[in-house]
Amino acid sequence: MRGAAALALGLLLVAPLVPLAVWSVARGWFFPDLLPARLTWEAWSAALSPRSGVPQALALSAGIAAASALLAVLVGLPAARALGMRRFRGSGAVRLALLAPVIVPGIAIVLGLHGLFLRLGLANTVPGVILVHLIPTLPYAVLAMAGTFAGLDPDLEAQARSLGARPAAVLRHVTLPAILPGIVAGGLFAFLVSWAQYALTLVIGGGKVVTLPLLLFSYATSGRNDLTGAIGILYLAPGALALVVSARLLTGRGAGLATMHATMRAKVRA
Amino acid sequence: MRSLRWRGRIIPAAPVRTVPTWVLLTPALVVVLGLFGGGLALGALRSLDADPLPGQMAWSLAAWGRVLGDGGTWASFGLSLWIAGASTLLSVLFGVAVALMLRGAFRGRALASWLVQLNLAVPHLVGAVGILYLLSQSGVLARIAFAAGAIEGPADFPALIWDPWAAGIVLQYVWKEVPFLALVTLAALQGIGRDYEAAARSLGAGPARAFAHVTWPQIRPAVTGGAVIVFAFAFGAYEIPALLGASYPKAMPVLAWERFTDPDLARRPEAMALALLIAALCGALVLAGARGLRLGGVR
Amino acid sequence: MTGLRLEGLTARYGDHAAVAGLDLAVAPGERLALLGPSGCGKTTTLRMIAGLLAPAAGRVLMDGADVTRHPPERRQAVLVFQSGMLFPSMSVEQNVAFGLRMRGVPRAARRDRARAMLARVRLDGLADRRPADLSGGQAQRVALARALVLEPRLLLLDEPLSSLDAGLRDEMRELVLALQRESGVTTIMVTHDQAEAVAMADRIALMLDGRLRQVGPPEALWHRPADAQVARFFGGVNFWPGRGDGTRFDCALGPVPCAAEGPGLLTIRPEAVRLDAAGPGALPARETGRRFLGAVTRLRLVVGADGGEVIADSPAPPETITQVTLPRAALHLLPPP
Repeated sequence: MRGAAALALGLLLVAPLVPLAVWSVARGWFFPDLLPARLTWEAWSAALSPRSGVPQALALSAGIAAASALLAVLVGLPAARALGMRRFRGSGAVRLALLAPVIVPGIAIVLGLHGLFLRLGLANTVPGVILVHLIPTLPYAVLAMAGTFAGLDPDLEAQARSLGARPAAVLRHVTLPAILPGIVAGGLFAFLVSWAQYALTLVIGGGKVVTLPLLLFSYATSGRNDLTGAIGILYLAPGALALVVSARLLTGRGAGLATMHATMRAKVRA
Repeated sequence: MRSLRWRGRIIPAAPVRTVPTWVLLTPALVVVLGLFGGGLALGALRSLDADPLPGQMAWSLAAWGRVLGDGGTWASFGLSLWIAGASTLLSVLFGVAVALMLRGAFRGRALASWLVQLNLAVPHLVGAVGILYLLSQSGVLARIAFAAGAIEGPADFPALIWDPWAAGIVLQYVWKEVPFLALVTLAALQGIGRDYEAAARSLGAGPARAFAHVTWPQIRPAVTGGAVIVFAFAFGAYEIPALLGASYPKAMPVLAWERFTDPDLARRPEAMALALLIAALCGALVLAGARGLRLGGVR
Repeated sequence: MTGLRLEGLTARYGDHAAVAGLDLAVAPGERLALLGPSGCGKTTTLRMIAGLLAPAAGRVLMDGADVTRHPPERRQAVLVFQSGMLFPSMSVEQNVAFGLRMRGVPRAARRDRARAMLARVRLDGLADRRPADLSGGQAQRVALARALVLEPRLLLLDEPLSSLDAGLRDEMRELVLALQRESGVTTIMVTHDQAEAVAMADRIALMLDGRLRQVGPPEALWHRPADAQVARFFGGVNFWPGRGDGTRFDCALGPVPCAAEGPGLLTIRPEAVRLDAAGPGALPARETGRRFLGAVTRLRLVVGADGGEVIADSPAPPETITQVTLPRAALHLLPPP
């Protein structure tokens, strides 16, 4: 009974991904054929050639996500420490301020920002997109890292001080090694959150900054199903990869990034 | 004197010299409040036809009048409410069911929970394209229906994409958010353990009543929090209804983007007003939920 | 060897004074136990000595020099935490060498000194282990080695034995005492366990509610507590309010022969009560209950016409008890409550 339900669940979970994968190797797959007439790597070789714009978009997306993640970690680290390790008045308000951008849809914020970015010369530029991606990535990074800080015993740092370490040495030898998993998780998180952005890039990039999702959308609406399938699989690859890697690397217990993602959101939210 | 807290114990450990808390919080808050608050504030001003950047401070309610007086706005608002409401309800129902299932031990549990996690890592847009190829009238399901003799041509297959009921959009959100809510619920279930349920059972409650009276009240805050996130996302995401939605009525974010990119620049304030309506609904949701949200500190 | 003096040391959390105007002097080379129940302020005091917590008022002086405003790394007053606090990302040897590294000792020298120190705590073979792979007792010994290798001016121990199993405790206690004697380092330990304090310290400073109640050698606190709370902390159970005239003390037990004078609480340790001999000053008694506690049996006895109760511990009590003797030398008069 449970097995049958699990089987159904498994089938439903992969169902939308199957046609995507089949399309990426299909040629002339017309109604009502259940399977393509011919299998070919044409879409993949097209997707990997610069003419399609895919390699450029892939590199751009990765670069923007990496830069936004790095910024989010650097800017968010002190706040994560405060939220994770200290009790202070107004911590609830700070949390709410950090959560609001996670909940309120990007399109509601970014239309208002566009004029400002235009004025600052940041509209239609990559730096502008990186900056606007901080709206969702920074809160995720802070909250993920705050969880790790909360697990750090402040006495560990006190012990290092007592053994003669100055604050900078404590940070380097004790604090950073202890919270490294949280930094990696927070950075990975921020990367994937940036990787998933659509509306923010669309508005601030103004069609000049074409990341992978924007390209995927335009191919999906142009009827190039085979190329769309290949791009779709390329687009989901980093998240899937991060899931596999993080499950072993970050937790060692198979809990995985996705679970952490879910539980962290639930923890701070609920 | 400041104190620290760790695993529930309070440590009198404010060192001789510490960086003040507000200094630690400043960088993140400046960025978040600057961009987020700035975006909202500028949007609000521009919805009133005022633009502080060139210094134009005259304002009018004309755009709001046009937006609120247009039946199309309310059709879009209703559609987005329907999409978000239906997606959230179905996601919660199936998400909790999947969590309860994954909690037990059965063959294939590891694979099922891996697939649930994998789904969470798939971007929404990829799911939307997959749903498009699966459910459109010439999609994989239609072909299976044809092969089984259930339909005679693509037109016989029910329209699930670009349809007035937004079925494809709702199904996409459900597909993506059931795993999310399942993992949220599962984490909450693992947090409370099974002892309460066992105690209820030994006091004579059946499985259903043990769940309803003992387990559900404890996981409800987590599920509610997850549901708020799902609702706000389904209400305000642009790319999914842009790809799978009908041309009328349009979902709110799509309508806002359309007004924003209208060749007639005079319609931009209407886009801002629509954006604020989206923000207001989601903000109200957050504040309504904030009472139940445990924001007090890290646990 | 370094002497320590605390003057009016005060710590506050909000309105609550965790430590209220503490004055205490510790002689060079002395072992002092700060004893008290949890929440009495003893750990807060230790942290202020270590420099990990800034006092709200008062001064910390080491060899007469004011170090109140010195950060911890300038004090050479090393705190060994209850849970060891080994750095999980470093090996055992790197942990022990950490403080030397912070002082800029060259790699080879700190390696040699760390290894030598590990040998002194009998952990020679474990230098390359990770803290996670150590037992509780081993981790505690590494933590001790990590502090002592610095030859600190003050060694501060926070509940050094309380995280260990009973069997390991004796071993660890002897090791701490041996190392302390070898190095002669002035040592202040915090503990909630009076037996631990009695066994390890030259002097005990008993703290209750943020204040020092009594400071002195263990025997003094044990046999001549300053008040009933101190006596209770050391296991005192017999307290009789009354008045003495220099030859006898009138209380619920009737007249008790002793030298106490004036009003107060008469007390005697339960193990000092004698049940066997019918000597001079014996009081008629009736047994109302007995409970076997292991090393001793605890007896409840009613003495005198007013129903006064005496509690006595005896390793081998007689079958029937008809009288008790309260030896004069063991009786002690406490101030009235």
